[in-house]
Amino acid sequence: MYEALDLEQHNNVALNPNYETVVRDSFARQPFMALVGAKMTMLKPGYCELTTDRSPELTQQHGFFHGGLVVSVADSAAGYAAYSLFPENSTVLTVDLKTSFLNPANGEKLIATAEVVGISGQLYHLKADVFTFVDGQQVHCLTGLFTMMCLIGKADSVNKKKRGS
Amino acid sequence: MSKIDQDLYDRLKPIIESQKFLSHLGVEITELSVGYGEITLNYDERWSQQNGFFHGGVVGTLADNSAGLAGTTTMPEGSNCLTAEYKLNLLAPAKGDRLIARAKVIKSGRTLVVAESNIYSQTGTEERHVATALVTLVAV
Repeated sequence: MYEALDLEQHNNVALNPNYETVVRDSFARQPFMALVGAKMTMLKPGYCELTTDRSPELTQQHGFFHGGLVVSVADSAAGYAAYSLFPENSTVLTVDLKTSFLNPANGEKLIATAEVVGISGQLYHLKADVFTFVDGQQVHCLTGLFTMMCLIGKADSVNKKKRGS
Repeated sequence: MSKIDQDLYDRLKPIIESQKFLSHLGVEITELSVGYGEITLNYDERWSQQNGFFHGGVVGTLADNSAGLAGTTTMPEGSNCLTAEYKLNLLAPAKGDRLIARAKVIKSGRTLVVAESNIYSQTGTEERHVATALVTLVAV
């Protein structure tokens, strides 16, 4: 856990006892997260943490992690933090997000953390933060609010090709 | 013990008192320190929507204003704090005796300040988290 923000202590409870397998399996099937080298380094009901090591391919012209990537890892962490609380036979999609860049992401790795802060019906509200480490010092790069939708009865897999299409 | 930093309050008093919309609503400052502000609004039917909840626009006003208050405390003396934008997530119906908005500065830059605000409804002593907002403020 990081101390940059006093997160509310939300006592999130997983509905699906098998949530860890379901979430990690879904994450493993995200080619984009594999491409950027993101690893799921912590998962608890309503909380997810992703770690991405620095590589030149992930940077922009100043040598910082690209802003789009910083948002992407925050989005994925938020999606899986929400998904960990979903019932069986459901999947997750992002409805909206708003992020603020606080400091350049110019460290050795990125750690994205996300936590569910409220649930209203099928909508899950999350707060996500991304940190980097410069000379061992933690730097808060991004903070954001996300809304995720719980889609019940919809498979969390690649759509089957429709006949004739 | 008062939760208000009196020196800080006195410095910001002219700005606070010139916020006519807040005094019109009867918003009170209940906590103030550098980088932190809390404001409270008691329920009144005039602030309600069709279900008797606090109107979402009122929740937004409190989110915006508490963040503005917290932001002003970290800006140089004499700067004018304006909101550039905010995003609000309504987590639960805002019903109760009062709303309490608690805002904290996350990053204070030369020009921009990013603050987060959390709004709670209070019934008796019970609190419920009803909204969260991320606010960008500009020092001009």
